[in-house]
Amino acid sequence: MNEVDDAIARYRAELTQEAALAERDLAELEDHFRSLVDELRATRPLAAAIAAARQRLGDPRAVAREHARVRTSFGARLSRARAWSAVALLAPMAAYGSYLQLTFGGVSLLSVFHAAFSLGVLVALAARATWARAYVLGGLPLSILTLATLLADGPSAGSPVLFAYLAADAAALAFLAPWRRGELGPAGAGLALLPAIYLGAVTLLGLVDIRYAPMTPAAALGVPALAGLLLGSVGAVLRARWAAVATATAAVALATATVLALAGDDGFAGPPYVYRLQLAGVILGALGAAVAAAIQWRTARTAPGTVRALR
Amino acid sequence: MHSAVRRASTKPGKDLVAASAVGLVLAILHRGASYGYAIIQQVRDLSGGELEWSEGMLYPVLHRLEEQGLIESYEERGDNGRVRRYYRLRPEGRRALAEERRQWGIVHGTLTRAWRTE
Repeated sequence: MNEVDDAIARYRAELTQEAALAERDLAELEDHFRSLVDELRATRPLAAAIAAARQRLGDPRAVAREHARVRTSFGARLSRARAWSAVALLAPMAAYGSYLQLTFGGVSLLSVFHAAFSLGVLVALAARATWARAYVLGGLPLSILTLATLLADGPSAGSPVLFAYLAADAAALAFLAPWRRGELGPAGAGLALLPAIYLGAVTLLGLVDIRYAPMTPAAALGVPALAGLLLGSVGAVLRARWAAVATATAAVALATATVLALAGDDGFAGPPYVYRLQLAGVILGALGAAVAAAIQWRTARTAPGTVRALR
Repeated sequence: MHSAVRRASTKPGKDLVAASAVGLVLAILHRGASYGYAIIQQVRDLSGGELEWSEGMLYPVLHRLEEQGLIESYEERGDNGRVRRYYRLRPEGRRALAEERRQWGIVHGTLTRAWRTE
């Protein structure tokens, strides 16, 4: 049976060289290969049966490309109905939030960046980019958590506007959640962790930005955290291994900031409800970055030159 | 005319096979849940061996139908001990199958009438 295993290993290698296929899809093709060999062996010698099975399954490069067209490495493409429903729910909130922030919070590098970033991700989600779905999917639970905290305590407790935000986020989450198994690939799960890093980095930078306070050591760590996140995000979309290094940098920065926050960094001198949110943001960011870096390392594409096949 | 005569002795071409794939897969799954290899066997039996697929290409068709919500998959241990992915029709798939049948009926009817008066 060794010859069959060898032939299957070769076929698998040729498939994955052309495009990144999910393990369950590879297993499905392997099962087909074995069934074909079992069938064909009745009428011909093993070597001929293996060759015929391979031929009937088809050119592995073409098969891999066709698989990649349907399923990208981040997960299945959303249906139009689901993607656009989520965008319809999130876009007014994002626009209103950006308007408020730019009008009352003041135009700063961070607020402009945040508004542009949200817009870009929503456009990508409407275009049903698989990475955008994973990214927004990861961001929504964080947003819901933040809103729930603000609704429970502090000056905005019980605010109907915040409640509307929360309801819209929860509904959008229902549209984006991977209800069917295998909808989100492992690389997609890695992407879904990136918003936690974004939250952590923006929290640190916000220590300076919102209060126009002097730079504290923890706030300064927001710069490497954000830089690591941005580099790591680009690398993750390309599925390059260096993405893991960039994301790990963000993890170290956020972990250090957590220690500083607990040790009483001056940036974290706000009221308790703000402190809780800030601390949670930084801790979640550190954890998310560490796990995301590990996933990026493991799901990185090994053979170069396969991006074409994923288009 | 000449090319049609020449092609009469060969099996249906790639484009024709691809066009019929969705209707065929939905119809086969309408008979009961099945898995890739068994679906291919059924296609061969139903066509008397005249319809041949590059068999690995069946799976992207199944995955796309699953993504569209027309079919769904589940895993089950087969009689040989290997875990297999089975596919079954969802209510949306039943509706899509009815629509496929209607459209192929139009094509079939048109061709039949056109050839009758030839």
